Amino acid sequence: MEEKIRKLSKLITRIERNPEELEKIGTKNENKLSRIVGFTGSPGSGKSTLISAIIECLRKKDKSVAVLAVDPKSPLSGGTFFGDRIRMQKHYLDEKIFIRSVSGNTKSGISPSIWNMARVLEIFDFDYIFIESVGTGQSEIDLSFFVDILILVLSPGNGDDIQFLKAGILEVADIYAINKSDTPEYEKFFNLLSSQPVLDNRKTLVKVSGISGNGVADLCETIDNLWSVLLKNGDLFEKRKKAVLKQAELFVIEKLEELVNSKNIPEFRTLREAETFLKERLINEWRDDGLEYQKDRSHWNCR
Amino acid sequence: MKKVRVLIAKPGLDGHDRGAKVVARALRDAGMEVIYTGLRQTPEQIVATAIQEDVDVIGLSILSGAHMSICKKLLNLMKEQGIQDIPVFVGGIIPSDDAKKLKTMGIREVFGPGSPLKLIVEKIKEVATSGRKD
Repeated sequence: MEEKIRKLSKLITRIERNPEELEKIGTKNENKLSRIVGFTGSPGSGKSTLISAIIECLRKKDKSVAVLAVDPKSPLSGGTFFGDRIRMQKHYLDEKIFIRSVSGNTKSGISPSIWNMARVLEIFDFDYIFIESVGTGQSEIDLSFFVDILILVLSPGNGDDIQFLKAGILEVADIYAINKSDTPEYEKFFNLLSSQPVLDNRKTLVKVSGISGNGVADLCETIDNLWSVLLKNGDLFEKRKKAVLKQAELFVIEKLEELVNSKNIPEFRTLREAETFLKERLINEWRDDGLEYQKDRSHWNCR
Repeated sequence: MKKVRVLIAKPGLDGHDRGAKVVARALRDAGMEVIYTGLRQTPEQIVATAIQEDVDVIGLSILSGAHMSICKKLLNLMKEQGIQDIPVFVGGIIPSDDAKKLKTMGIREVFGPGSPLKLIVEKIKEVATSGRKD
């Protein structure tokens, strides 16, 4: 394994904990952007397996791929069991493939640090960066803010036509990958989605099977075409501009959650009281964080 | 504080992954981040995964009887790749004579059948956090 990969891996660990670390490693050459693609969908819809099949397709064109695979952090213990990379075993020894498991918030479906991690991978010149969310339901749309293209992976058993009229994740996805085309119930499911006015018809539907690989080349082409359009019309940059602010929002929310769940919180009689408490504590914590950061930096500068 | 990251790997050709899964689950419930490689991993795959995932500890589950040769190869590879500082634990059917040899070879601890999960969790936590600078 190259020295570069070891360095990258350590860097990601540091950045996950201290987002400010990113400032130290410099910026990206704007002329060589990675295609940042998100994959979301319910647990078991085949996201990881599909990613593995797409990687196989991209490797034939000698493209490099980094994967950030997010699995849920336990709301009880804070621990995480990562099972996504198991589906990508074929690529464990490929030096142009980098897979990293990331512990994610169960509400947002991703980690607040995901954007910084993706930016590091971009600086390391991966052609594609795939971000896989935790298994999602209808509402975890946060990933859409950090990717150039969001793919919603659907598979037979995801529900009837009424499910697909619902607002939420279906609206923010750019491509629908209708997965598991190798299964017997598939045609009925695909017809349900394609023949009824349930899905947004401006978006692309792609028939795929992560297991057999059928349709994966089409999906790759769809991704590349859409990305070129976004680059040309400038939407890509508009989207990326918002990502930093969105990331800050996720950090604030996570801090708030930690505060609410921490021990020794007094009891409040009114909503106003509780709100004021949260606001003040949040600001205080931020100030302490800032001081800590300044200390870190001066130490770093000395060396 | 940073969560302890553990790689639970299943080298060799046996398909008995129940033990690996039970341990993985216990570590998760103890607040750790657990990466499971899946079955039949080569030492090369395990080392590559350990590097990419930047883990603090590697746990191997071996029930095929090939523990001596697998561990030797793995430890050598780790040295070659510069990650020999990551402690390695082994669980599975390991005769006590072999367990001793494994420990001299550089394996941190060997957990045989009947090892209490609490002990495994404590030991891993202790080893993972002791050498840490942060």
